[in-house]
Amino acid sequence: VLSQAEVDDFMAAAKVVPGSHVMAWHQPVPSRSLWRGAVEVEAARVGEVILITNPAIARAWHFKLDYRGEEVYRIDCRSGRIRHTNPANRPNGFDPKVLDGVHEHVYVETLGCDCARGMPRLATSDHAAIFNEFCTRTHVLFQPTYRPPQAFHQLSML
Amino acid sequence: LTDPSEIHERLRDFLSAEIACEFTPEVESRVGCLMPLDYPSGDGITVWVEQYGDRLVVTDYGESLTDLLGHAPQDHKAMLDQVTEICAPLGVQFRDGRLEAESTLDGIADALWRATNAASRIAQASDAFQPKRRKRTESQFVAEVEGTFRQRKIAVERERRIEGQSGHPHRATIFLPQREAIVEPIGPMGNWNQISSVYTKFGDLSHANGFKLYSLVDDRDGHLEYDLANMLVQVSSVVQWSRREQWLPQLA
Repeated sequence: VLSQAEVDDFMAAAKVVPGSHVMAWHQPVPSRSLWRGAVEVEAARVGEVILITNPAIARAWHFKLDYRGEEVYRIDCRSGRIRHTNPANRPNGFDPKVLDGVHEHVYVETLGCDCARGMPRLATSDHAAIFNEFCTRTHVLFQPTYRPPQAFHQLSML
Repeated sequence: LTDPSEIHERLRDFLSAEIACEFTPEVESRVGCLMPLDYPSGDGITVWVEQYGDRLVVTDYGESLTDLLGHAPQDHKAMLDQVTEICAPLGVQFRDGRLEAESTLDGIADALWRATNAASRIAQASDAFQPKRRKRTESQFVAEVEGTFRQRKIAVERERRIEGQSGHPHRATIFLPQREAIVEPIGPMGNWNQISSVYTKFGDLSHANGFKLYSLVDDRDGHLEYDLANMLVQVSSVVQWSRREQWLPQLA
């Protein structure tokens, strides 16, 4: 389990997702699209950016930052009614429930990334804009060429 | 004593406030149902209902796999194998990467509840999944690494014995006493045995002291496979031999 100081240091550090390639999304299961990229601090690979989408649901996007295999920050986006319940033992600054379709999960020692708060400013933003905000908040310099995920499409279950 | 019916009434009111069934903005014929159960992250579980004549299908569109997909790719198969086992007793099918429960309107509440339970259990299993990786290894270019450190006037100790948090004694292939750093060289095209051994060693040592832990990959003849590198990232900083001019100064 990572200490709060370790995560705070990592979050504050200048990070790079290296590469000059175009992002290539893949489908580890038919229902989901995924992109993963290594995160480096001072040329040492210490973490990973993981982007997950669901082409069957409009605006179903996850933007994750892992440090040493542990999730330390995440932005979730979803259309329609959503509910996030923060832990009962959450620290100050987190509402009991979050109803914003776009919300960020931040690391709290002993709770991991279970504490969330709304990001209403991004309520109607597209994937690129939210990813840009994700990189800004996590101090990630993203070097590959960004490519948006597959657009929403309705899957037939017949 | 409190009348059980009053408790029942309050529970019913609470659960009613937690659920919502609405047409989705993107597809009018689809109904999104926010259910009164949460994923381990605290996010409420939503399942969707689609109608095909008088047949209703409840699905999660694969949303319950979000935690699973965040794991290292080499763990996906083992975790997906669990999904079918979780679904079967609930009468839920796992097909094309998503949960499905068929129903008529009369049985829809039961189908919604079963699919939601399956989604919850899958996410919990993914959240709790801990891969076990234990093997032994040998290094290939240790001498070259040691020589380079010495050329840079960096003090080096070979095979320093260090006790891990478990009490097990490990040997640090290269120990830099001035920086309290341990460097484990990974041979070209590092194999599973090498990687898992370093993973085990660093996993134990990472809790033992404030050692800086580095996995040094000899990448001159190719890159370490992505999933193997991801194992090392969980317990150490992974640096590449070809880029030593960038990270060596930090160890001087």
